[in-house]
Amino acid sequence: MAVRALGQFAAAAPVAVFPAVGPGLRSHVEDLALRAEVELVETPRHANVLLVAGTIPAEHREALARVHDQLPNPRATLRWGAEAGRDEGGPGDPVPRLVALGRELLLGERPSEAPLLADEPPHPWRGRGDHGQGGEGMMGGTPYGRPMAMTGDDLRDGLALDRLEFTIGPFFPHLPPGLVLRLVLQGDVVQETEVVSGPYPQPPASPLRRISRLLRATGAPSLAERALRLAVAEPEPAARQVAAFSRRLRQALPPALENREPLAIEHLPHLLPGMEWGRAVATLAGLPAPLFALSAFAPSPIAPSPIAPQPDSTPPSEGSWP
Amino acid sequence: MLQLLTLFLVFAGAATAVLLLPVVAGALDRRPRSAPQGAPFLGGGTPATHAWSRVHVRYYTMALVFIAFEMEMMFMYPWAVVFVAEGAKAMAEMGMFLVVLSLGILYGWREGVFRWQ
Amino acid sequence: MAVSPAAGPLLSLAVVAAGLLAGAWVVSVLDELAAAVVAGRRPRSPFLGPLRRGARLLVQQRTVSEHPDAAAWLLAPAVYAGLAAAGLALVPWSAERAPADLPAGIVVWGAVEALAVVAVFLHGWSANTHLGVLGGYRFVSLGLPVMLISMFVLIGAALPAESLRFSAVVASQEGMWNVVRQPLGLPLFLLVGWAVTFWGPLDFADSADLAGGTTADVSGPSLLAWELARRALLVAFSAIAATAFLGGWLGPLLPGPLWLVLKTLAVLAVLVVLGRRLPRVDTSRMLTLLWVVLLPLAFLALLEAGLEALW
Repeated sequence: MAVRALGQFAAAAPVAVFPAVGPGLRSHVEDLALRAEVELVETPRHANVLLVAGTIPAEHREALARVHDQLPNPRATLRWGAEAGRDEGGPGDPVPRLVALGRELLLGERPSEAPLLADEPPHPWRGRGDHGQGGEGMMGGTPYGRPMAMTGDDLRDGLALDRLEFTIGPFFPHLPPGLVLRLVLQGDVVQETEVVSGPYPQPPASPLRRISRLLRATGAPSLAERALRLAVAEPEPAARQVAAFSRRLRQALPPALENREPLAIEHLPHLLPGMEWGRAVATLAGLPAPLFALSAFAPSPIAPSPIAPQPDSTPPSEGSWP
Repeated sequence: MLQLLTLFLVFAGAATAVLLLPVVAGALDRRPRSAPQGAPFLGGGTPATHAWSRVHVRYYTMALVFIAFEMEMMFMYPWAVVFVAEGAKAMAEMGMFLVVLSLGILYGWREGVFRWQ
Repeated sequence: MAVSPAAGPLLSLAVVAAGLLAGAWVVSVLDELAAAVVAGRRPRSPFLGPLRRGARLLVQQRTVSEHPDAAAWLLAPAVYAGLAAAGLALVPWSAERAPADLPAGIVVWGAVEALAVVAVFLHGWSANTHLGVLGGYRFVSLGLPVMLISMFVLIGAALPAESLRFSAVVASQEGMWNVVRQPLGLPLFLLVGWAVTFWGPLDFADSADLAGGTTADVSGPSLLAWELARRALLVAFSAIAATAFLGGWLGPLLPGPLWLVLKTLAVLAVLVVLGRRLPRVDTSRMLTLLWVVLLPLAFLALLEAGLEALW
């Protein structure tokens, strides 16, 4: 009863949405940040509604199911902008349906969605191993469902400490949607990168929109919103306005904001190792043409690979990923 | 004495209140949880291992300099109380202490201790 | 020159708790107003909005990760909030009253800051999730040297008072506030405030590039507890800043406690509004900046405080 009252009070707040963005809809989803009724959150744990924008390719359906199951109850999913509805010049406005879903969830009128994946740990562990927790010996086996991190040599000086290995998936906030990277970290410095799958194709984004993405990734959401508002209102903003936002970025990213050579995915395995996490995410968030000079980074000890020079700086064509 | 008790009570009271918030809400919550719900969020990606690992404390050299300064801090607390009474002599003494430790910072800076990598 | 405790421990607890809760709400209000100004739009429900979001968090489920350190995960926000409350209890309300005006109040505040670093790291570590561990780890490396700066400027404030008691620090500002005679002190101390509550440009623990960092796998009432605790520490920090540098309850016409509240609100406004305008500082740049620029500035602040106290 108190829960009902709380739910009613909470239902008037903006609905918390975690976006899983598919091909072609990245800009449309970003523009939802300008709407007052919707709050785009960075992790599904903070969301009530999962917004699936576009048609997610089959190979990433399981990743989508993982993200869906990570939402806390009460949860719901909204599929938006799938191929069928796109011919009429745009995927339509999802906000009224999002708001309705959020309200119904909080008022208890809609049941929470069941999990999509089976209720099983990643590896069976109960009753196995030395003490029934799944582990073997010092650090072997799969205690409580996963192995422990093992040692390996560090890039910088060969010191052998634990390596944290994981895959950041197609729906990591601020990265290009669809980009799946297998990363190995020591501490928070990237040791190895492997591109499992490339980003989804999106329409080209204006420089101001890309600056807005970078500002959001470096912890300035209000500045990012201002840049986005400007990008939406004026397709050709004045150079000094763009420069003003670039100046703000410089504080977060020491390398100068220059070099607009497009960066291909093949360069990532050579570029990212040696970078600490914040810079790596900023590099990825600013793809395809990072807004700062790549040469300003210290060369990676593995294999400093030169970025292929482009004959001209025209923006990537329709259908290539921005 | 009463002040110490008040301080402790305020700490314990606030901590208990904030502790009870998730505990009580969790106890009243009958909604089911599934194993995939507890998986670490990685944008849909999967982890190969648990997150608990011996994290590379690159900054141990910086931490040592920090400890040296912390010890100086311990001396500065009583020094601050008698400073005005002691006059310029106290300032000179603490100045010497700070200069010696600053040499440590300079050395560390030269050796590249304060870079992230 | 001890100040008598404010009419019993329980009343102090009630006032401090009410102050922190109200303060946390004020922080959210200021944050939304600042966000609206910076983003160039109207504020979206600044006054009821935080309360509604809090209600939504209460209704939401608390997700649990695969194998967390359950006790530490629950205790981290509690300890963090307790420390904020203890810090606020050190602040004198008026010339006669303070909840806990300990003879070494500044030392206790230093302990609060140091333990707060531990609480944040625990919050990231105990979830046993990768983004949380990274957030906690990154925060600690930058949070440690910030403690030094905090202590240097607070000792600078203690010099003219010849005491480590906060009521003495306030009394020593009778003629002139510390912000005037030790101009470096307050700006440095504000940076410390951002660092300890990982707010704004110094948000290395719960940052966007880690999808929320230590809160990436926290939901529901636990998230509410954490955000409350974080804002509570910001409020406590602002009260300490107002006490040590802006003269606490000193001021003409209005009653002492009201002056304290006004000054705390002023410091809060500066911290929150500036926090919205600045992106997060790059990690390695921040480390170098802390040790090579800010710490020597803290030495200078101490030197100027010492010289001023003697002459």
